[in-house]
Amino acid sequence: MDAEQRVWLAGAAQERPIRWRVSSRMDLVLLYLIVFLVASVLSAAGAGTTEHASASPLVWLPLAWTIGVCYISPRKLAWSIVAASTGGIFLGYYIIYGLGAASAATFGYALELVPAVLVMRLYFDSKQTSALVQFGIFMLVLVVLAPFTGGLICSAVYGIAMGSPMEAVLSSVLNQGVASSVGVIAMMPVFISRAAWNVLMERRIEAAAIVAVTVAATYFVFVSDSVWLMVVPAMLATLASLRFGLVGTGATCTILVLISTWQTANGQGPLAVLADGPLEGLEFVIVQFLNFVLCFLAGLIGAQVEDAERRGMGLQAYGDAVMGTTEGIVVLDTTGKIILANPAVSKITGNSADELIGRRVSEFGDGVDEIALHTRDQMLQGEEVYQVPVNIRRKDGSDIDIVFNATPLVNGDQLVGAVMVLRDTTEREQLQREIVKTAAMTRTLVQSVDDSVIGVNRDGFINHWNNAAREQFGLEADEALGMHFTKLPGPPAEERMERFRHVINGGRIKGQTIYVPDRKGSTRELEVTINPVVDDNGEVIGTASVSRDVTEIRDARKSAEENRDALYDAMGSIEDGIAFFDAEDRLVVCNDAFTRKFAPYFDTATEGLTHRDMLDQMVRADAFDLGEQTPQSWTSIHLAEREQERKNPSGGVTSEARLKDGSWYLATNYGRRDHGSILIVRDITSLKRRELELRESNRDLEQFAHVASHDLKEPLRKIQTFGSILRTDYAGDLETDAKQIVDFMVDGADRLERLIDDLLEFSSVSRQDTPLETVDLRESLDAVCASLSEGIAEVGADVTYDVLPSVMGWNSAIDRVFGNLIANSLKYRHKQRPLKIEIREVAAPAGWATIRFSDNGVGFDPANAENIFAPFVRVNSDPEISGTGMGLAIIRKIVHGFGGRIEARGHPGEGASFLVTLRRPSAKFEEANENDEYSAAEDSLRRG
Amino acid sequence: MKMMNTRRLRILCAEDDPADQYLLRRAAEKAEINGDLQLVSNGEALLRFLREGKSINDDHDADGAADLILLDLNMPVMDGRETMNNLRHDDALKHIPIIVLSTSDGQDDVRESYQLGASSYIVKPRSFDKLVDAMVRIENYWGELCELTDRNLI
Repeated sequence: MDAEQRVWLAGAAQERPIRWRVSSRMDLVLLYLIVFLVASVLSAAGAGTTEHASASPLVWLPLAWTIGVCYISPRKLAWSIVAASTGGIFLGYYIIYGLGAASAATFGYALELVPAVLVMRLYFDSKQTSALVQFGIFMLVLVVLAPFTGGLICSAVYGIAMGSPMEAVLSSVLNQGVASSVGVIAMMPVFISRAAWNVLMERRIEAAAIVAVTVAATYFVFVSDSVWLMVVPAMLATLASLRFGLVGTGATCTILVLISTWQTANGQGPLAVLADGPLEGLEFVIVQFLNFVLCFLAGLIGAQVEDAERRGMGLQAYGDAVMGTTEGIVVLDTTGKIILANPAVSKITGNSADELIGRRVSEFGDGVDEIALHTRDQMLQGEEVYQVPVNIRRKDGSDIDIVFNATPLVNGDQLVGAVMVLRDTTEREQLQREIVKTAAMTRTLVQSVDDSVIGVNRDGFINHWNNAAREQFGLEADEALGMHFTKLPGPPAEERMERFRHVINGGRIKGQTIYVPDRKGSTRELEVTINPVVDDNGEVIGTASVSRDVTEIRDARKSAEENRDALYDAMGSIEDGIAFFDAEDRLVVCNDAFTRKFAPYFDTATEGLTHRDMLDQMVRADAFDLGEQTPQSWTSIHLAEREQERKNPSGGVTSEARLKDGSWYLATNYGRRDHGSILIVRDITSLKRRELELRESNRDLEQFAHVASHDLKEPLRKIQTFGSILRTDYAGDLETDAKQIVDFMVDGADRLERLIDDLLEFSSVSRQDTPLETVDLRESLDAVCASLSEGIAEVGADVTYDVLPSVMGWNSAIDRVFGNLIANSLKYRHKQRPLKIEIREVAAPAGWATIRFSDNGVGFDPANAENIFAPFVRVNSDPEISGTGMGLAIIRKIVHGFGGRIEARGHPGEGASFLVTLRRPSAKFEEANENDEYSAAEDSLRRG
Repeated sequence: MKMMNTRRLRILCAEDDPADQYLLRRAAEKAEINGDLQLVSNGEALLRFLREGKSINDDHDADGAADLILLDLNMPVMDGRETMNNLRHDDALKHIPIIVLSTSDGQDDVRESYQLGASSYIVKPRSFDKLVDAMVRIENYWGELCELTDRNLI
């Protein structure tokens, strides 16, 4: 900030505008010239002689002006020199036109004082030097150094210019030198008073000394007529102006003039000399008046300077504050040009001071211009401009949100600019947005929750009602808000108020059950939690109730309990033992039947026992009787299977065990994945017994049949053999009748043999201890057709079959099935047409395969569809066709043995078809076969 | 086709059933076996015959020797299996080839017979003619074998 700005600001900072002031050097110079001109004119008018011109204050005082000019701003030395030179020029003019050598000397004063002032200034500016020292140095320079230099030069110049001889010049110089010192001393007042002022301000002691000197000098004014004492009045006048301002200056000057006039009138004082001379009466008065005026002005200037300095210091403080604050301060003129910007603005905008000052604000963002103009309009209308947001562009291109306050700068009634205080609001804006977003989220959360949230203020009026509350109480938000909460449907008011009071006093209600009627008229059960709501100071300002509808839960619980009770009742009445195990395989609950059956074996209470424990205890109690298998091995197999079932429930896994007391149990485990398992134990003793009996009797039967058929066949063979001997060897000896008799005999024997064979086959078609295998039906048919090829070819039959599935069975048995079927078809073919046999797969339930074997033979009466399979039954009684009636019985026995089914369909004269259904190969079946002790066919029968 | 043998084949046959005995004899006649058929009723008799030369029938002069044994399996006193067992443990007799002639066609019987040292197993045919054929075959094959043995060519 330069001095110009400072002054300008100084003016701006004042409340009242300054009416008149010395605002620039130009004013001073102008003033100086005018005064000098006037003084010179007057001097010339009253002049007759110029000898005493050197003593004329008219001449000296302009010099005082020059000094004043220099003093105010030694930096503006140029101005000072110009001012001084102008004076000099005028002087020169008068010198030439007859003001004499004294005038030249006066010119010299101006010159000589310039360096003096400079030196002085340096010392004044240096704060380290004490005022007293400054004062002393000043006196020295002023009194000793300056005059001699100035006077000497000027006199010399004059003399040479005038063509005076060198001796005259020299003497003139000398004279002038002395005279100059006197003149200089007249300039002292301003400096002295200044120095004195500083001293006065800082050092009282030195000040006292100076005052003493001044007082002494003043005394001399009154008692002596030395011209030295011209100094004093001027000094006093300046002092007075500094201390007392304009009024003081005026008063002091007036007094001094009066004193001086009185002295002169009495023939005393320095001016008395002059009064006798060229100046008389009015002239003298005018001179004095001018003296007064000029003193006054000097004082005034001094005062101004002082003021300015003071204000400068004050402004310095202002300036520091402006520079140092973190808020941006910008001063604009009315065109929006930035005149001042503090460092904070640089920080905000990213531009340095140079990049800001001189530029228009409109350059710092779009829309800024508009805002600036609007602001100006507002200020013109006298409105406050406060917290206006604007977005400005930073130097790096990013933009920033700021708010500003604007204060107008006025000069009188005219707006000359504005001071704006800027604040970066970006952070604040972000925070604000965050707060708003959080608030919105919280609101949404509360609204979306399933539990009702009801806010109630201290007086009990509802101030918050979320969507769930609407559902629970059947009231819309606009109905409920503002309502007293006791008016809500539900418990009585007193009860509610009691709870409310409890919470308002800082308590909490948790898990309170209340009943509320719903819109449909039924009662809903709610579980309520009520908390106090506190503000930032910790004061309770209301309550918040959160209510959960637990009706459904309660109903579900009740229904679950009922189901459980029903289950227990059912369990209690069942014959089979049922036990539920949890996920850790611990017994949870079992029915009476289970306890009755097995508790005797356990040496500890059944509750909490694991399944394994139970089995171990039974083994220890030697409960099992498993024949060759050890109880341990049975137990481990059983447990392993059970474990598998628990992990991957597959519909249950069973195992049997026999106990020492002869009872057989069938244990089935049903896994329930992560919920444990269910064990069902059935007493199958009687079943087992029957089964074993059956098996035994079957075996006996088989054996019997086998042996019997052998023994039966033996005599048969005899008959056949001897019969054939008769037929062949004794054919000639026998009559026709006898031959026929023999034939009948042998035929009978053959037939018997076939019967016995079939019987044998029938009986042997039963359990084998080999596991079922996968039989490829196509391969089986291939083999059968091959072995019956002779018969097939003989008849010219056409047997067709395509892709056929695989089934579970034994190859030999399946071969027999097809063999018998084909043999039957061959036997019961239609005589009038060629035999066609077709074998193909037809639809069957999942896991099963059905084959249709159909021929175009003689068929049979559908009424016989069932008993066609009965042993020894022949539905076709054609005597030509020989048959034992066992073929189909054998087939059926085989098919049933594999768990399958066979069905016969036929029409007389059209043909017959047989549907054979057998099990498809499955993984489970094969697995069972691997692990099974007993035969697979047995299992399949048992499983049905 | 019947081959000419230089010497007569001595066939020793153990069969308990009289009817079967009759049939065998008759079949051998019809087959015109060049040999002697010596019949005994059970294994014990067979062994006795071989070891002691005693026979129950006085058909021929029993010299206790046989070139070939036809053995039924199911006989009282000592059945075919036991007989075979005895024979093969008897160093003097184990060289004699045994043909099992049985009604049984069971695999077990067949296997067992071979294991016990039978050289062949024939199921008794139902028709007489087939029995005769069997006899012819036996004579042909075993007869030649004996011939070769005699000549020490085997």
